[in-house]
Amino acid sequence: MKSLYVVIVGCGRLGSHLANLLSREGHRVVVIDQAGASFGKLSSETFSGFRVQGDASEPAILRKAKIDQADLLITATHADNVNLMVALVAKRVFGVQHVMARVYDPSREQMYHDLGLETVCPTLIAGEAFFKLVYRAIEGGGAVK
Amino acid sequence: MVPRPSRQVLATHTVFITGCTSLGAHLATRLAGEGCAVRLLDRVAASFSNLPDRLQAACIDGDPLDLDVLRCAGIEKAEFVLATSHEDDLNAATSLVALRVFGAPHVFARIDDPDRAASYEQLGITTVCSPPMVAAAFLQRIESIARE
Repeated sequence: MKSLYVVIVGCGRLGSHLANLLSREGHRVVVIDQAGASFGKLSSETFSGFRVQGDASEPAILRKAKIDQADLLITATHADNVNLMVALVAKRVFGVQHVMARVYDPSREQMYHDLGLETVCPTLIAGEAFFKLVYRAIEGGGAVK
Repeated sequence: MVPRPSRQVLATHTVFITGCTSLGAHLATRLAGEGCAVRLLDRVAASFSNLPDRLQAACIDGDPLDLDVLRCAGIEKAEFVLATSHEDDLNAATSLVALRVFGAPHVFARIDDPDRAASYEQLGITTVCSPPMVAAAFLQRIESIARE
């Protein structure tokens, strides 16, 4: 397993969780977030990466995170539009090899893939869990009228 | 994998969804497409504007904690209540009302905070907590990149 240089955009629950884990596993991690307070979610014990405060849709901020060295960029802000914009700049302007974006709107996934971006869609993941529960209840019969 | 029941079987079921979020809309669209009768309730009427035009579902705007609203929206006829708003507490409260007041047979709640999901499960609510699954999906892919 090689050590990756990972830039994570958005230090919310998902971004900070990934940052803490990846840093502990020995990857080099830089986290970008507009709000300095968000960095409080980074663990003082496990996170040994860097923090960059600023708007990641500005190329200067990405440069500050040394994006030209990144093997992987992850966009994990709460806004699909921001995630798309930053992911595209990383891929097309800076030529980052692997770009993964969180996308809430499932109907946008195909467009992301066409643009060469990898996606994880929480809506589809939660949806599958709900469908499984519903189907299982129906197949199980029992309590269903 | 849980097999999908046939269209004929699904057509006999009514699903009541609270919260026209991207998740609520996704569930409504697919379940209606598979034949279920779908009823969607949201506090904000404008939330329904992002639904696909072809969707066959009853859309009702109102408070999911108002018993009259729930009754008028047809919760008593629903075998399934899916609470999918953005607020964990609201989803938990809606689920408890559906279970305890209306005796809904199957109630599933979206609870994003894993700690809360665990405590709501103890109250008898079946929860879907997706953030750990989302993180796992990212990590799985990252591991495969690191092995390349």
